[in-house]
Amino acid sequence: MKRLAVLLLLLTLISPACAADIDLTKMSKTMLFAVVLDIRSRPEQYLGKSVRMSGKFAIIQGVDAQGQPDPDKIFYNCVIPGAQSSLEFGVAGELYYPEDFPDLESTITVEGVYEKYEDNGKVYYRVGQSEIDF
Amino acid sequence: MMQEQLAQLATYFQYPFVRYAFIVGVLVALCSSLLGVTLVLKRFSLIGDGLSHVAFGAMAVAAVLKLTTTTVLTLPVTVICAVLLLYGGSRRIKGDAAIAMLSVSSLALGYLLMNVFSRSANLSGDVCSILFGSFSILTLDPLEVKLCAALSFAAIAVFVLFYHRIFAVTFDEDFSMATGLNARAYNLVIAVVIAVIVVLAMNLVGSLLISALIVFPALSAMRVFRSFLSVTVCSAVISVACASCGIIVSILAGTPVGSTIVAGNILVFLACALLGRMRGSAQ
Repeated sequence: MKRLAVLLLLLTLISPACAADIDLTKMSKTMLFAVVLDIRSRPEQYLGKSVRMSGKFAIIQGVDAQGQPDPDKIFYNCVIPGAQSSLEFGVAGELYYPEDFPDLESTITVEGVYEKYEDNGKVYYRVGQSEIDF
Repeated sequence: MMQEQLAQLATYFQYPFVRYAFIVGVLVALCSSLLGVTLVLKRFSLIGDGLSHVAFGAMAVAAVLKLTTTTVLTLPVTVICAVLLLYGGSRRIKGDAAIAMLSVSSLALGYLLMNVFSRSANLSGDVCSILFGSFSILTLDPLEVKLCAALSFAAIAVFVLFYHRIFAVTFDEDFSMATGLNARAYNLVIAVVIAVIVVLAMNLVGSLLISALIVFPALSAMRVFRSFLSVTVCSAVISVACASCGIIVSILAGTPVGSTIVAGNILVFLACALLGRMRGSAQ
């Protein structure tokens, strides 16, 4: 087992460098499902890691402190069909919805760094400062 | 290409849940193969199937009750049913009829409960995962891994400690009783260990495929070897190899874990059957 671990570690070191720490676009279906589930269930373990993902663009309408819909608060999501789940992402720079974003359900590729943020006193996690390709 | 695959595998092994899956997979495969030989020889091959359906029903109840660790409920329920099936002597419904009745009742009631009470957005996916073990082995947390390891070591210890008695009860229960061995007590031990293994194996191959994990390695080993010890050792080697390869292939190729492991067992069985036939004709 030790030898296997050392061999696998060596192979990791000699393998070509990957742009993102976690590249969900290159994972098999089984791993994609498991990794996204792990990110959602243990988000603290992934903070600061760069994540690259591909899926369908979706939005969630945010609410204010009183629980009323806030038109200025829109959360962007990447629905990953292979993982049967979605991950939220935040964008880099000044972008406005809907003019600077793709149509809903269109295919997007997002890359950013996993981070946590607060909204209405609650902690949430997202792939922050993301670049979107569509 | 090969190097790319190995590099990919190395990346995957950096995730703790992949290492957990590998450890649990190997331990469960080892346990199931050890007792599988006894069950096949005692003609109780389908008991694993029946008990796994019972475990499915218990797991559905645990899901409805929102228990975080389903083993808390599935393990005692499965153990009680195993004892009733293997140990209960005086009952009106006997043998395969009792197994069939318990099996389909648990399956039906489990699915009914999940449909009526579950709040999951993906009920079909959840049921499919429990039945076929698509991804559940890759979703274990450290507590489940520790529990699984402890139960696996207990099952292996029981088999090793009582090896000679299990051997005697397996081959000739009447004779072993005549020699003063408490065969009923050892049948009880076998029933409890089988129930534990079924509950553990649910995470690896799902409830519909557990029987394959129990019977295939034993049947494959029996094609090639003749003595109880050599069949048991060969069965353990085949089972562990198939589980390890199955997990690796499934995470690399994106296939469901449980059915990939069973497919590997089927291929090994065919190879062993061919080898056994060749040896037979040579003799």
